[in-house]
Amino acid sequence: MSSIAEETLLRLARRFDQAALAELYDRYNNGIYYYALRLLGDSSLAEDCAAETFSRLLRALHDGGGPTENIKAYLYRSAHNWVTDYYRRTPPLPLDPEVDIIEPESDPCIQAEENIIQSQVRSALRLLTADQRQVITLRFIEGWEFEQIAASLQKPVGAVKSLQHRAVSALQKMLLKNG
Amino acid sequence: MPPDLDLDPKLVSKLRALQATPTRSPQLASRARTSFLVEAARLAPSSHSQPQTRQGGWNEALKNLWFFRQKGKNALLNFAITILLTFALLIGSGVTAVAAAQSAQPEDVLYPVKTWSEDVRLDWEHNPQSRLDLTLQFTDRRIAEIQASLAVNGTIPEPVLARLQSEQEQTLALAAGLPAPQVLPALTQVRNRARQQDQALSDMQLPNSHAAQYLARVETMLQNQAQLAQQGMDNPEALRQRLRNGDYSQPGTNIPAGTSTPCNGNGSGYGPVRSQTPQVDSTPIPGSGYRYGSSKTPPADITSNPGSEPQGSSTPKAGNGPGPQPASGSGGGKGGKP
Repeated sequence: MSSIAEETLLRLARRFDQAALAELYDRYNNGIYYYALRLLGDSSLAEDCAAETFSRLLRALHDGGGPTENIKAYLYRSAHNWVTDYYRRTPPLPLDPEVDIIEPESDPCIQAEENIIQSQVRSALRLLTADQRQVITLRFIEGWEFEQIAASLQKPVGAVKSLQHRAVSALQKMLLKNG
Repeated sequence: MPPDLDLDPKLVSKLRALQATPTRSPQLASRARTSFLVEAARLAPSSHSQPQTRQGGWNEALKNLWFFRQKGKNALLNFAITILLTFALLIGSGVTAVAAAQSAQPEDVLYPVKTWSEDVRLDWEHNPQSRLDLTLQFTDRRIAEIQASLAVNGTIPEPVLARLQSEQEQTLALAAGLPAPQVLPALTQVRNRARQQDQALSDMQLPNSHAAQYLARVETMLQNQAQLAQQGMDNPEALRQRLRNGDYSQPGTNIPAGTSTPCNGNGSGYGPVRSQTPQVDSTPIPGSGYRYGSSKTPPADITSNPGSEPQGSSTPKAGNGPGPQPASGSGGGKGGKP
């Protein structure tokens, strides 16, 4: 089942084929989790985001909706919307490093410094627009191509590049102003 | 990370910091996966199917109709169906209006629809005998309208008189134009119908003397019609000749203009029938008089029968028949004919 084409996987998933749904989950769930974790900095929130993203997928398929061709883009957009909603509901992140992200076996000093940078980046990302944030995250953290991001945002590639340009300018001002 | 030429390396470095994430808890991941699969099983079609309601059954039946199945797939078909339904609606509305108009009176808004529908029915009827029957039926309608107008308003709308006259002329022409064996029965039919209509009007209770004047005018028309039909029964060829000449005047009354006067010198042009001196207050207007009142009547013969009756083209003048004349008092009193 692991080598199954995405189109076939989607068709089987629409029929609620349990094996196909399990395959779909295994194929994309970890990526969604880490995507959420990078943006949220909290593993519990990331688990919630991933669980809700896949639950929404099931409900959409049940109602005859859901992705038409690109499951990955659909899932990342859904997760991004969840994160955006979360940002709206909660106050901005504190500048203190997230304890949750500290790796127990790593050097505490290095880890602390890394956590500070992560927190700064996360705070800066939060100040971007939702689309800019998604472009930056997918492009520079998840490593997607413009075409994939365009599919996820349901925008033309040119619009994605424009979003990236403005987002990078904003991030440079926010993150590099002190050198 | 994809290469981006103009991206500041420091910014890249900072963004890459987010890539470092702690490993996901296997227990939490496994629990989440189990939850997902449980929910998937719960939402599977076998468990979420609802019992069909009666309405649901109807909805399914509608969806299965061929044109609903095509919805969204064939815009042209949808457009055609819309046009078809709109056309059917318009046709239905038109049929309803025509049906409702059949009982309309001359003052009603739908009266033109009624007369229009009569014209259409006649146009579609090609059998001469059937056309005659239909036209006689329409004269009955005119008489009924005249009765209603007289009873309610004490007057008769001029268009109704004009239409009655036109229909009378048509019945004579149709009857005289039938094949020889049918002419006599047809003319008898025309004569009897005119007499019946005249009798029906004679039995009316009129609201005032003004109405009596109008009634006299119509009765004159009917009596003239009966006499013309009778003449045709006696001598069909003579009637045909009169009709060819456009002469629908009372038989035996063609006297040149200026040599006679209307009855009692009142110039009404319709002579005494019920009252001794029928009074028609208005000057005959085109299409309202007894003769040539219809646009279907050929006007070319007007000059060939001068002074035979009101011609409706101008205000009557002394000595030319329809208008007030010097009181000689010898006029026949029929339709302004001398």
